[in-house]
Amino acid sequence: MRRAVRIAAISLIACVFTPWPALTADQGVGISSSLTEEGAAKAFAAKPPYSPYVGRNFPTRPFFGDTHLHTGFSMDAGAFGARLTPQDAYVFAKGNEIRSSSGQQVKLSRPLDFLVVADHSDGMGFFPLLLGGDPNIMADPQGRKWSDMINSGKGAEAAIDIIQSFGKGTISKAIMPLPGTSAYRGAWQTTIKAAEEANDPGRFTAFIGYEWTSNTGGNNLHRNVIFRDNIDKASRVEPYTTMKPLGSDNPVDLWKWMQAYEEKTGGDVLAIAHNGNLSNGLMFPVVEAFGKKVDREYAETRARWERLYETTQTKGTGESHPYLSPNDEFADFEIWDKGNLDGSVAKTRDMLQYEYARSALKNGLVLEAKLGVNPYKFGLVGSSDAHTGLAAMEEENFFGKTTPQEPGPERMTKAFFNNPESGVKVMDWEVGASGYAAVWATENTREALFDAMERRETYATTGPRMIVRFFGGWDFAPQDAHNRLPATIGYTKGVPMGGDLRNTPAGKSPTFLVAALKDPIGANLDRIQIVKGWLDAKGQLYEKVYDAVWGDADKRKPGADGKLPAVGSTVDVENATWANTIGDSELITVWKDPDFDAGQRAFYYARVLEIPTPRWTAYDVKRFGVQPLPGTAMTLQERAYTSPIWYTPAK
Amino acid sequence: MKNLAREPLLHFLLIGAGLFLLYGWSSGPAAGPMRHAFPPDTEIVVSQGDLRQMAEIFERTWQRMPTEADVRTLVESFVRDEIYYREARAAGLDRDDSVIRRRLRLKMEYLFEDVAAQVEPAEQELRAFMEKHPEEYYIEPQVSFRHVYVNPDRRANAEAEARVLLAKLGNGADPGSLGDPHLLGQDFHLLPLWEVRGQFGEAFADALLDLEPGRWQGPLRSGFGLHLVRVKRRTEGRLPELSEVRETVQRDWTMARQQELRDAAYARLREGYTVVVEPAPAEISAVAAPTAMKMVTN
Repeated sequence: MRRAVRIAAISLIACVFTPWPALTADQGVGISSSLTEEGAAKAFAAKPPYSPYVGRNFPTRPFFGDTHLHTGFSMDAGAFGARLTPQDAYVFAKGNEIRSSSGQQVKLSRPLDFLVVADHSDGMGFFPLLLGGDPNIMADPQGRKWSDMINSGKGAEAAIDIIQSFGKGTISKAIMPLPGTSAYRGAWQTTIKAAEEANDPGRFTAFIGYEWTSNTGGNNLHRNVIFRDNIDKASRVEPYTTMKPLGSDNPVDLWKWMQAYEEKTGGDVLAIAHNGNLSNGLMFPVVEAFGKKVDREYAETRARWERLYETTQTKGTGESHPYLSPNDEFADFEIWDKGNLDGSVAKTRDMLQYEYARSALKNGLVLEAKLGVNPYKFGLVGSSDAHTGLAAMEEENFFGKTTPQEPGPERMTKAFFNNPESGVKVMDWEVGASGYAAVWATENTREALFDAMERRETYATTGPRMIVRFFGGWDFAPQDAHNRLPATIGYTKGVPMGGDLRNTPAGKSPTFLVAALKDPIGANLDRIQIVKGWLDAKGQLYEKVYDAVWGDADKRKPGADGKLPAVGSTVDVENATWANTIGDSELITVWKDPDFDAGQRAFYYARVLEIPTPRWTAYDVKRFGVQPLPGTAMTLQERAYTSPIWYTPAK
Repeated sequence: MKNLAREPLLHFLLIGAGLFLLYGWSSGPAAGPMRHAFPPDTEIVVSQGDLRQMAEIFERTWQRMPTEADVRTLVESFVRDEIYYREARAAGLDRDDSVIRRRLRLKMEYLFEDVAAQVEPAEQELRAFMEKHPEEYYIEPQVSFRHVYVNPDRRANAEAEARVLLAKLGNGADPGSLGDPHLLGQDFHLLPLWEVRGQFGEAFADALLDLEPGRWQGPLRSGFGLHLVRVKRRTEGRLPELSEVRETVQRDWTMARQQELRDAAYARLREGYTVVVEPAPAEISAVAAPTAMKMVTN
């Protein structure tokens, strides 16, 4: 925590971090998360050294990974039939071919750079015990029941029952491996050991982590906890759970646990929340949470521990919702808005603004004006949340969210869950092949990646590995987009994604250097957009999406209404193919806010769209020869979302 | 003693001893599946160790120490477990229960794994292991190169323009002023080949390896377009010294060893059995493996 909270947060949050030498723009070209005019001017006036590498300590390429993968150690994953272990998950992520739990050979198109195996802390290791016929579990009627269901081939039903019992708090305490027991300890030690063995600094990072799965009433408040540390520190604790009395379902208590861990071991942890879309209005509260007012302390603590939000994954994408953003023609992407996590309560519209990243970023501005601290100043990542041990999130190589959803003809037509009482029904085809986290770290190590996550220098992708740069500053000029070293100019004149702009020079508007390069084996790019949210003097919130730069620009011009025509589509759904004959392989521009008011709080982030490509469902139709159900989405425009850059007016 | 601990023969002896202890009371593995045609032992001793374990489990569950009455209940339940256990085994009820079978198999496998984990490999064993799996430890070539990118989105006739640029570069033109900007940059310093593959794709990486260092060549193709490339330096791929990768090799060795021991021990047991598989019924022979697995997990 301490390392990444540099200048920006220190001036903003009056708390007791260890002083850290603030690396500002005037100390060379490097990572700085806040920009003042003075610093930038000084940096630019300096005579550049002859050697282009002098002072170059900025990240030269993003690292792609998954911060949220379950294995058979997770209670529900095990029930769904996942048998792969954390060790298998790392072997697979490194690009090796393995055999999936459904018995199919599987391999990634290319290795990932990092992985966090984040099994549920509650009941961690329950499944190996259940399958092993642990006497304590078998002696309990509920344990016996699930064991029988699994052994008679009803694993998926057992899984749903386990998830629902968990949400309702009706899991028998006698069968849950609790912190302090040897079964629990064993599972945690195995998890840590797998990460230690797989960790290969410089080439592949295996983080130690777990998921804290607060799910009371079926409302998803889950967080993944990631350790910067190695086995020596991580093994001094056991994961925090949600079951009382040892655990709690209130995030405030998780933050206390994190604080206690850092104090006890001198280590570093962070938490990443996800699936606000299944929280039924509880993920981003603005008035109260767990019966307590959202006050300055809440805001400070949350902003301190939760510096990233997982905005896209298999259970839906949560950047924006068409109801909240009716003028955003691309808001309707892989939306899951029927109910909460177990489908026990249907969704109502008033819940939506407390569930989606963009509305939370907006509400954060209001809270910051009111409390002095923005609790929702988070960067963005994507991850899988797959319960298969397989971080396989490419459309043409999608291994599903759960083991029964591994490739096979049934996943085109089966229901994932169906609750006749609440009317919530989600089909398997609605599961998204998404996503990954991209991290701009200086090197591929636990420390460097973790620090980059804490300074929010990250972006989310829905699966492809496009490269996205996003810098904000006061002095980017159009010709900067033609510079051969966009990163050098970006870090010199501005702050990267996740950073802050303040102290507006008189009469200036913020400028942004934004660039994207297609995935080397993926689809061309349609466009880069800048999403702006802001708060006016009357306390009114606004948002606007600007097209900053687009492919085929020679023939594609905005119409009289200012709207950019669609890029078109080359997708042949029947054969599940497309061609890179439209769009561009690289897009870069300098964008200046045309509507800037120096007195208004604002944030800006970039959204990069690919040209349309076949969705995983199209590959399944082609490969299995099955008919899709009416209404099944067969194409998509994959995308990336960067962490925002915030503008804060001087007091 | 240390040398003795490394002796493979010893492992087999240890396993043998373990098996003997496990099977000592029965008629032994070589005699085929266990017979249960003898009555269960009728004396039950609840040891101090048993009592301690019961109390510990009780405390973990209820967060307090058991009272005397609790202990009586625990003991009674323990005895009940034991009697049923013995009677059930005598009746052969353990034999067709998949949960019990799987659990016992795991216990056996753990036993062998533990033996493997005890062993400290000798230097030459590690070296031999490394030489047997060169692909695991091979250090890929590294390439320092500069490229001039020709973006087909910006140039109608990219191929021809690339050739013109190549001629200019050959005549000493400044590469910094030619071609199009590329987000990954122009200059790469000792990039391992796996990084080149990740950033530019397989085809580009393969072509890069074939280039002769020192002069501008190309164009090479990637998913991004065309590239004129000058390789400045290339280190050859090589097998590392053991000292560079010792930790990894030892870990892999131990894992391989565990697998080997499990397989060897199983093979020995298997020798003692005759297996008769009846012809498969017609309705199952057509089922493909993945589908068969799906039936289990659904």
